[in-house]
Amino acid sequence: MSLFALLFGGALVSPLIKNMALLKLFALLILLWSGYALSQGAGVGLVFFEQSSYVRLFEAVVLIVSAALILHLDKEDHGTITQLLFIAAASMALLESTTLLSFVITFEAVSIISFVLVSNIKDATQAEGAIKMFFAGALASGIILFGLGLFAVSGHDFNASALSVDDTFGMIALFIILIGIFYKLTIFPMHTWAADTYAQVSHTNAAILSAIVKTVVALATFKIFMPFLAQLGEMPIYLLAALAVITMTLGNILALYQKSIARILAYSSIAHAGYMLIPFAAVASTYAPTGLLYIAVAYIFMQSAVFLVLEILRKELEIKTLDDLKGLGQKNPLYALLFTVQLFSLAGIPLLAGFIAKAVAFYAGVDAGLWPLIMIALLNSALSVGYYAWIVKHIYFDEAQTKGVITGRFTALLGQLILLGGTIYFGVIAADIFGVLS
Amino acid sequence: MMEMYLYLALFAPLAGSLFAALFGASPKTLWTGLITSGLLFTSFVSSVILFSYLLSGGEVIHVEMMTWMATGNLYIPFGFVVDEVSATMMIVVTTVSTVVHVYAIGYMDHDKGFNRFFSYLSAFVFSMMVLVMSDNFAGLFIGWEGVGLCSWLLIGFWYHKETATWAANEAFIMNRIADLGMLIGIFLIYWNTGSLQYDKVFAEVPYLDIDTVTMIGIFLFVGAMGKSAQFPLHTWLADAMEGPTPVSALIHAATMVTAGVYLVIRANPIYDLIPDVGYMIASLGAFVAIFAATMALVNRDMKRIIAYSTLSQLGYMFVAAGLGAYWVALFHLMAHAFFKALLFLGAGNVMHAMDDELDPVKMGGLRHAMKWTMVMMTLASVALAGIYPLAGFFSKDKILEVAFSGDHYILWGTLWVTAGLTAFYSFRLIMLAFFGEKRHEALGFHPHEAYKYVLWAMSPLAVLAVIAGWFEHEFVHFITHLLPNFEFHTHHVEMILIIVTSMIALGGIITAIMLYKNGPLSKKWEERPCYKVLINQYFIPQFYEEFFTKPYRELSRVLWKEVDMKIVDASVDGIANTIYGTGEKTRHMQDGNLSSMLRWMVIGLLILLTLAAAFSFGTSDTVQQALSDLGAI
Repeated sequence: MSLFALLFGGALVSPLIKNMALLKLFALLILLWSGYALSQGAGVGLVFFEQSSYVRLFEAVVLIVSAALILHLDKEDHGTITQLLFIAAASMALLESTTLLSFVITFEAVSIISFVLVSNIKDATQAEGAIKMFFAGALASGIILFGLGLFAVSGHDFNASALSVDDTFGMIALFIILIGIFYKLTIFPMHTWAADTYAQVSHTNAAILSAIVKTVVALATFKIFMPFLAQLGEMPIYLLAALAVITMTLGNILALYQKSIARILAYSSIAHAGYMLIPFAAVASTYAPTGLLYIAVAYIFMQSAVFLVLEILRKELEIKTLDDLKGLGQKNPLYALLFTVQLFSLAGIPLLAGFIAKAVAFYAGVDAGLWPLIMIALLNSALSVGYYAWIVKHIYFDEAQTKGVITGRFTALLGQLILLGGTIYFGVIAADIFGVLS
Repeated sequence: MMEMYLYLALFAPLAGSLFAALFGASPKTLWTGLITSGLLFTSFVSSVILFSYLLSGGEVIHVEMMTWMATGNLYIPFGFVVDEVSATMMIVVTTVSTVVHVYAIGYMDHDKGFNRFFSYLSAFVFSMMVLVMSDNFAGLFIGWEGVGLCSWLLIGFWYHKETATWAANEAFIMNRIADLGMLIGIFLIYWNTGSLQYDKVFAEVPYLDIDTVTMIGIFLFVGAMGKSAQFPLHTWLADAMEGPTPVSALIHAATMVTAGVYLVIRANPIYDLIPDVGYMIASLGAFVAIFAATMALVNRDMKRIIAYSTLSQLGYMFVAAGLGAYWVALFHLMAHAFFKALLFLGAGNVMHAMDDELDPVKMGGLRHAMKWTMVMMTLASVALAGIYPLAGFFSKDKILEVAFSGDHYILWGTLWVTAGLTAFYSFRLIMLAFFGEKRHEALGFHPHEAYKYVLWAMSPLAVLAVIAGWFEHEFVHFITHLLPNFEFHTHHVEMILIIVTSMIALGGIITAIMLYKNGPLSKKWEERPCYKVLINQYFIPQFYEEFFTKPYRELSRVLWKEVDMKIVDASVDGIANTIYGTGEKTRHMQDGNLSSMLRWMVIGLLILLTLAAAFSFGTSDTVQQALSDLGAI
């Protein structure tokens, strides 16, 4: 059975189930079935879509993280499950797309479902975040279509399997498309919407957008554009490297000043987009694909985990700012620990996935000879500890405010444990990810 | 069989840490203290067994626990090695940490976070063991970060103190910045040798380009500078004294701060190839030695005085390591660990007796109330000053000989003066705290001696502070299996050097006794400019605050408020409100608009496209040249 059909069908059926518990069970079963199908070698199964062990590993990770997300959701998020299944289906297709046409179509599919996802608006703040994303996304889609048009006009085939151009117009067309995609990856100067949207929409949605959608897009883009990037000369590589530097530095500096935890995480997400761009610039290195895959895997676990913990904290204890966080470690040691581990992984402490991810991606840069880029990236990652440790400082090193204890549903906790497992597993055992390419 | 002891030595502290963590949130349970100490003792015994196995001519023990990363030509296992160097380090680490654990049972007696403390402390020991036992640079780095993390937790342990959390973060961030230097060094090693295993790397290094080796050496040393708090990254160590005193004794005197020295010793095949870098390390070490010693001269915080002394002694070790006398550095590292930890633990006793008062000027005459603490601290100070026949004499004297032997007379002279300063400030502290009038009585303190078993716990260190130097010849014989021997060319002047050095040390002690026998000096001294410079630590912390911390914070604020919020970013309050009806109009800092945001995206697009087009056409070589110079990426 096709992976795509399974998830897509599940998404179509899911609105019919009104009972939340049943719906969750149904969604989990669909994901489980998909996982089984995946292990049997099933893919999207359409023309212009193809699976490789590289893609298969990440598809499995997306399914696992989706399962954790579904476990986390509660009654109010009825629609989110459907949308999540749609996103999972579209993500599989996006990851497996092999031609520019199938890539752009599935990319737009993911975008549209993202808009639907954030349209679940409950207050004005969320409306603002959703509107920003919508307008920025519409503009980006326009840019991509413009590039696609130019590509066609200059006499190229949408369906050519390996993307390679030798004329100037084709090259410019591909650049335009790439820049349009960078909007979704929150690369400077397309990052502006993200800081607001991630911080303003519900944290669950922010987890889906900033973790799943971003990593899937990054990986799929890399897959499609790698031949094109590799064929380019040095100069555009410098351009990518410069964008990476600006994006990560901006994200890290801006995160430092924030009081709202969601906003810190939003800027941290932008900084990580900068790190993800390193393998793009370091395309000449054989470590680049591994580096990006590792960042994607590590990031999808830790980023979704921090936003989901934040959602629990906000719902139960009204925690929004750093000050609200004070003394969490004393009253709620379990959730404090879950939060801390993932934050440390984001900061890149060894034996957590975030560390090896950065190490491999940075090493790819070294391998490609991009020394200054890597120096700045390392400095960035060192300075970023400032705000991650600052959050943890509030959790553990400050006197507790009068605050309740999180009762926490068991399933949400289970979801967190899955994500924690991912962060630790891929931090200790790196062989899986290195294995898929050899 | 020996492998079992290796695992036991390594994992017993981890087991202790996990056990204590189970009860982390609950109030004090004596058991956690006893069990973690017991496990630490197990680790100590295993280390001793491994050490004596090597001593009796056993083979180097090498195990590979599991594979960490493996693909194609990349292979990094979790591997551990017990050779002469790591065995010595294991002995130092486990001895001091066992003593500190037992001591802390008494010291942390009334603390709410008793169990938590032991969990952190044991976790630290585990990380430190990983650091010294790893057989590759990746494992070393994991331990390196691990000790940094535990140090952060422990400095900030008393989180109700604002200064403590600040100091913890300072230490953490400064170390992370230095660590990136080390990471670059590790990248370079892997890039050029294709491996991170010590044996493979060191076999490969001689065939590398000398410039590459120089870069590797420098970057690794940047990491060492952070951990060992060498100038200009030294400020965190003095501030780290905000942590509980057992922590200062274990982490910030005996073990973690010596990790940098350990790294240079471990990487000796690399540093042997680049004597110029070695000389730079030695020069920096000599500078730090005298620089830190001067700051210790006037300080009025007991723990900070000892911390500066630690800095200064680390400088000594780097002189030895930099000049190629690796075993001498290791020897001093070991001797220093014992007497410095003892000094800190003694200071902890005094702090307890004086209700956490740290200013020795407010003490005086404590010898009556705290006889044994006085004896042990004096012993440690004599050892530190380098008086025959205590540990410091042998190890410090060797370092001076190394400097003299290489004809580095400036280094020698610096260290020689520092030896005098060391003796002086050590005895200034002793005289102010334990002798003279009981100035504390007027301030209403009622000092008392520490618990009996606390004193007993300290006694092994006191013994070691005396005898550790006596086994110099055996140690040389043992350690030079692995480390290169150092050729001394000083036999003809050896006795003269020893006498000259001992003279200045004795001179320092006598001066301190004479000056401070009647209590502190008059206030007049504090008016002098040189006093002001020293008490303000050469104004370096203020400089950092003014030129690094503040501007960075300011940049963040300005970028966000003035740039990102006003120009780049924008809000759609208007549209959102229209759609949603009502809105939070009062929310501040949302005063842009959507159109400006979109305009920015388009402008950005155009700029990037122009650049891309310029590159693609490649029409203008000058543009390309200019951009590549500019970006230099």
